[in-house]
Amino acid sequence: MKRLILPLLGTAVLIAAAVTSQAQIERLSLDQMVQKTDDALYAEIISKEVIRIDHPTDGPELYFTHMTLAGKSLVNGEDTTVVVTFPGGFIDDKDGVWNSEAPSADDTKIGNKVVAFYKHIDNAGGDLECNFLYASHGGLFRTVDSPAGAVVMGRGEGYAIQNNTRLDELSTAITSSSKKNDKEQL
Amino acid sequence: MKLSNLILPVIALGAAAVLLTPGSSNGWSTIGGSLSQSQRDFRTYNNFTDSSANNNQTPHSQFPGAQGAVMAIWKASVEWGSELHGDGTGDAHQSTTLGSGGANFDVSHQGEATSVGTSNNNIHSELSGGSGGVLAFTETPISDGWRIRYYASWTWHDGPGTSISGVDLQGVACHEYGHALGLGHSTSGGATMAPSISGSGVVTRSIATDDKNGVKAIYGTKSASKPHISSISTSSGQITVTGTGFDSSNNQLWFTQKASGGNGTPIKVTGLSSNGTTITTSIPSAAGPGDVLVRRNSTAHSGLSNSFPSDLSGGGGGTGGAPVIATVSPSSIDAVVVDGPASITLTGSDFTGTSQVSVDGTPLSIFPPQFSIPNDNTLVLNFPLVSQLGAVTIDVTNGQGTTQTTIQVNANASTTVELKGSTPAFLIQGLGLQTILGGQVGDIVILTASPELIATNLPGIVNLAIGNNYSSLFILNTSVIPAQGFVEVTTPMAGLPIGLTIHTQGAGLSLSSGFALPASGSNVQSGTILF
Repeated sequence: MKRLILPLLGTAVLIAAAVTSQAQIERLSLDQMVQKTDDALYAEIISKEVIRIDHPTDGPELYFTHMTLAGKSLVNGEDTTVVVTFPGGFIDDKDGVWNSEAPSADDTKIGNKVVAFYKHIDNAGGDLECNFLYASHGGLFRTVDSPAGAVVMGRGEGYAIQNNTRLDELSTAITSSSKKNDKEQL
Repeated sequence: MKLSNLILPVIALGAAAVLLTPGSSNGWSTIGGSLSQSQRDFRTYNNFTDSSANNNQTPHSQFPGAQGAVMAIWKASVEWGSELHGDGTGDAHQSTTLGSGGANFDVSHQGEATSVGTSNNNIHSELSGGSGGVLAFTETPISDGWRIRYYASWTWHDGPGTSISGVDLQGVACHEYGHALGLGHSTSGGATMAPSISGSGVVTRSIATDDKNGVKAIYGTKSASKPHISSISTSSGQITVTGTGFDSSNNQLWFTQKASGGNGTPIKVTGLSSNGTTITTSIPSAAGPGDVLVRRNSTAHSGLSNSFPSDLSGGGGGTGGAPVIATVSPSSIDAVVVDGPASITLTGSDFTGTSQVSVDGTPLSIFPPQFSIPNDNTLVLNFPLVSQLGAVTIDVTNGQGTTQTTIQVNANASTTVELKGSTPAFLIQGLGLQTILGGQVGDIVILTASPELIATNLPGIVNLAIGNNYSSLFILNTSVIPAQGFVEVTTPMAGLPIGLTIHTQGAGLSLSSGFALPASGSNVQSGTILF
């Protein structure tokens, strides 16, 4: 009987941790997220760069992180490499800012495999034109590999992917949502 | 199966259930660090581009000197305060409970900044662009301050109501300021610090239990030794703060800066002694309407009092200086105002303590009052007849000096009649029928009167609304409008019965038209003989 206690408690803690690892952004369903973005990728983070902009009207010390993602579109299945951007980041230990809505450093480690939603915008602040990581931390979801394939880690209530979801199921849902949106546009 | 075999799994599953309970009191998280006393200031650079972000121009006694976006952000910030901000009013969403944190944490509103500032200047401002799903963000780490930006792509609303068609600035500001004070996102769905919003975000104006637990975890639950301000009074340039928990010496009073700009550091008076419950000192000249805080002789979080609103009115004015006149409304006026006198509003500061207001060099009477001071920033006067057209001076004097402004007085464009006295006019036989005739300088005005409001028409000559075709029309006076734009005419009324209503009307011949006929009829003024 004692052998059951630790696994059960551990399971409880793990489930709770999955729920509590949430991160003020726009509240979107998956359908809304697909509708509002240009693409969704399952990709590996292959590089990161933080830039600083000192803008005459938007102000000094505007930091943005460029993250290069290489992977596959979950909308059309094409191989894609794209640079997505979110506000915040550090150039070095002293030069930069934490941004309350940015994804965590842990979530954006080089080598992480992620699902990312992005949209091209003309100005992310400081006249920076970029592919914006939509809803910042709310547009990035980590994945883990499992024997049944990749699993996308849901982030709980208020996020486009709330629950842990198999990548193939998510891909099907995104493709379906995208086609539906195409029809609506027609 | 033995019953005992079920106990431990049940306990474990119970623990899991507890951990998974939505709205757990432990939904809050922190970003690391806290705001020291030297970082409790906040300012707003009001560069918000949506008109809806600044259309609340109604002053509120608990947020003196602020309007629009500045007021909305002030409300958002004080919600995190240790106790009710003033009387707790000011927010339609939480009618009397603004100020809910319950922690050793309070903020110092420092008015408006003049730029976006750097990432640690503790300034709220709009940021161009957006449309990427992010409403606003806070830049940290907070050890040396913070900066909050609101993306311009959203339509920001300053309230104060709760029916918002775009995004509620106060609600989002409340969330973002939670980051500034050290909180991360919460997993509690109803919390202000929940990561995402749907709808306008009005509900996030009010912090939830989970948010309160978070701010208490960082700053500690409000200490019994924390200074507390219960009331503020001002008089003759002095302020007296009443409350509890003040040290016997080395207290500080923190004020909101009067001017825009600055570096966020509150205007401070230091080295103040107290009997424990009151502190009295002179109001610094740089202090303006805003919040007052007491800092006892301690740099601990619990060393700073609640923030308490005051317009610093009451003697000597907000600065102890001469009155400051910023605007005159309306800025121009006719020489003769029908149903006058006209009300003129001066805005500015330091009107409290005004001892005299003069127009055209003549003091207005104090009783019966010809001027009033609703607050330190507003003076309203009844504009009298003046001796000239053009720019006319208004002088406002308090104990510190006199400030002068002008108002443009114009001749009435057409013939105008005004009965002096009350509106509607009640006439007193002994005073006679007192009329004022206005018009363009040089015009001829014939003053007529009748007890009948029935027209008198002579085509090509005159059309009047009174006199019943001359059967009861009396010509009282014929005048030429002088350089001051009006003439006063008093006609004896002896022998007329009490209760009689007299209608007056002018017939004007214009100088500019060579006194061509027909004469133009003016407005009609009517009065009843009271006694």
